[in-house]
Amino acid sequence: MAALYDERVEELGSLEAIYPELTSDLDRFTASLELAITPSKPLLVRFIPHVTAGGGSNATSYAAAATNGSAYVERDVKLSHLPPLCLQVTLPAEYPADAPPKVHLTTKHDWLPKERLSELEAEAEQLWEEYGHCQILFTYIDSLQQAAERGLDLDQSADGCLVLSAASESKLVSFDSDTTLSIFNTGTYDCGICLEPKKGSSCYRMKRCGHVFCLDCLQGFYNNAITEGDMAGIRCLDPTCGKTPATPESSRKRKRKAERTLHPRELLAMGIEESMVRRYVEMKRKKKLEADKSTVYCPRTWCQGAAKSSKYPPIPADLLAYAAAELSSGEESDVESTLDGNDSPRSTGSKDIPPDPADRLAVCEKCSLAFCRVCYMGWHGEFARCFPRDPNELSVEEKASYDYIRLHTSPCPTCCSPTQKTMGCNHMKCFQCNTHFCYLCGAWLDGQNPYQHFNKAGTQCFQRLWELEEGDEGQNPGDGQGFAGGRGWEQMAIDVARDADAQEAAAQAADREAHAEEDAIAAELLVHGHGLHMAGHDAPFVVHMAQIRLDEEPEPLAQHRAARGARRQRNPFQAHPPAQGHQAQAQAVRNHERAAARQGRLAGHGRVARRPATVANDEDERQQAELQRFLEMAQRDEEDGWDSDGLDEDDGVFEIR
Amino acid sequence: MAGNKRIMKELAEVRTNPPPGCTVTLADENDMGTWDAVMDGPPDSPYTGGHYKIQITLPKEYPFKPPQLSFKTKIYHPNVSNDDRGAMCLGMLRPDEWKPPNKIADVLRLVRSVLAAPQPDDAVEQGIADQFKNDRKSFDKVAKEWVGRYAK
Repeated sequence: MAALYDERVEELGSLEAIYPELTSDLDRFTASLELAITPSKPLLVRFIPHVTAGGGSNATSYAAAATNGSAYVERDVKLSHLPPLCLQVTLPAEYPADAPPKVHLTTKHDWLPKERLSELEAEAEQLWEEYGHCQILFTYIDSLQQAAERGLDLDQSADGCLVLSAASESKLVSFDSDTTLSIFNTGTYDCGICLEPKKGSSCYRMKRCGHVFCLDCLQGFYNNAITEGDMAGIRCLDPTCGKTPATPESSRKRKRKAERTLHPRELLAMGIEESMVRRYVEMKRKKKLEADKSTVYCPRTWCQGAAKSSKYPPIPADLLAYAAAELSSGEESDVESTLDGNDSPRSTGSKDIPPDPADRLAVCEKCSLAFCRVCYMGWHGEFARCFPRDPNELSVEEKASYDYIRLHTSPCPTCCSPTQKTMGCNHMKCFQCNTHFCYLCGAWLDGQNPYQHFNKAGTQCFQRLWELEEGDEGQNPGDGQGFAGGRGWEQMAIDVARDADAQEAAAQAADREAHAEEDAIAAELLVHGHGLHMAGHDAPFVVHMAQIRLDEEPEPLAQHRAARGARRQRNPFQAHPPAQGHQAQAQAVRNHERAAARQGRLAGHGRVARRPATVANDEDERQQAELQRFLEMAQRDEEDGWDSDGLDEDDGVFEIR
Repeated sequence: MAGNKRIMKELAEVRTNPPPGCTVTLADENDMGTWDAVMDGPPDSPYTGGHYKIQITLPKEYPFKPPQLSFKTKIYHPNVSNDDRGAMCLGMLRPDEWKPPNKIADVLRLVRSVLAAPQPDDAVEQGIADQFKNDRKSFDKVAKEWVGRYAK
């Protein structure tokens, strides 16, 4: 027994005492130990696709990536936990006096390059020499641990980081996150919301900022916010989060950028139901679509889906695959800047006409209807001339919702989003664009000092900060308070616009009279110039059109037509701008009619156009008289007493009231 | 409901370790939703020596929703409305800025700091704010008068 005394046994025994996880075989004098690699500062790892060996193969990997159709992408990842280093030691009989220990190093998932492993293995012999052939296992293990803490000095290499094949990326990344999670789960955290200490396993750590809250509180808060539609509330709940300690000025400006909503993936990780998360993602997308004035909606009243847009890709079935960029702040600032660009909300009609006819095609993302984003008719191909849809052609539902919005909401002065106050003071902040404004009169308020608006003696909102505090639904809009005030400026604007329209109509009527005469002359000249069999059919028609216009202008309906006419002037599809002369205009009209004839629609077109010119039937006369009466009443501000039974389509009434 | 447990915790904390110059009681021992706080006017301010009753109403969604706060004692201050509501527009209490880890004690601390240093640029009472900015002396005088008249 005593003869069996061996320094090796003694050394392995003490190592076991120091490292309980060390397993040793005292008969064969072997031992193995796993050393965790947790660098004190996260190790930068660069993953490169298809690296086989050496630098020479890089060229082929570029080529391979190119032929695969996938981009050659390097990905830099910072890892805090790397798969452990496995040390296997065998002590030969001559150890420690005459032979160094035999060490063999491997890494789980074989991530560490062979060269670095053999360097580390060689260190054992170096140490053994340095320490004069004594027991050096503890010293060696200790030096390995210190190296692990320094990230095995991998950042000292030429690249400044560890370069690995992309094939090992998923394993290393998941090892890192699993280890981080299991360490997190064993900790205890004070939840700032329920104010109770909770086990890490029932807590969640925010990906971006690292704040920790318990799952119960997070689920409660976010479910509540999603149910109520408070999308901006889906952010880290820490009061200091997203706020940079800077001057009030700059923090106010930066806040919107800094406040970042959570990625749906995080909500799912918190255990929030997928249906809720989907609702969040959908509402967020919808809000962006609505905030974007270039969005067009399906003309089918039962659908009203938005048109497909590359700017807002549809939400994938798998929420985890949801593009991160979609929710990033960069995207939001883009939307903001486009919003800022649209200073005049009234000009939307002409601005939305895309310059390229092919761009007029819109496809509804809900019902897949292909329609024209200018005239809102079913898609008519690129060659048809079409005009913006008349706003009077509203469906019953549209009219009802428009009426409700008009009577029961105040518009945001910046983005025109209809707002309705449910409670509180009349200092409003727009849910869409964060503009401060007065609920009563719709005035823009200075965000720095919103209340002075209510404190200026002599203004209509003086001392009315708390009016309608209980919210607006119950009030009678006719009592002269609240909504009537909120929409007051709109009514005024409509009056002004109506006057302007009337003037414009008169001017255009005179203008067209002149045009028509010249058109007629021009047409005649052309007929003679180009031969009868070509243009003979078209020319009389142009004359008819001109006559129709002449006949119509003095009628009350002119107002409505004038609006269309005005838009037509702005239409970029117009074959020739008016400045180029009336001959050209006549030519353009003829071209159009010819195209229509080719599509076999000329007969119908002609009939409709000719009717008012030839026989104005009784129905028309009755309608026009009715309209005349209404307009007269409107001038005396009595239009409320007017019943619309007389007109089957309420034409014109809607915009005037 | 988790909210009640938190309110009890907060109340216990506020009672054992109240924010400086404040005492907090429940308006009704059976209702955790309404707190009565009495705040002493901060020293070195015109309100020193005054005692202000502040009612704090916790919505049933508290702490997910912000508490509401109203001065029951009249105070001459640019940030407190000069009516029976005694409303105070604190940024922290706006629904879009409220964060659940904020506590009532934090709100009270903020209120007290606003008493000590009015924010005339974010005023509810513009007249008082203008006076505060332009004629600090007479502002202090009126504020002190009001302490004697209402807040003793």
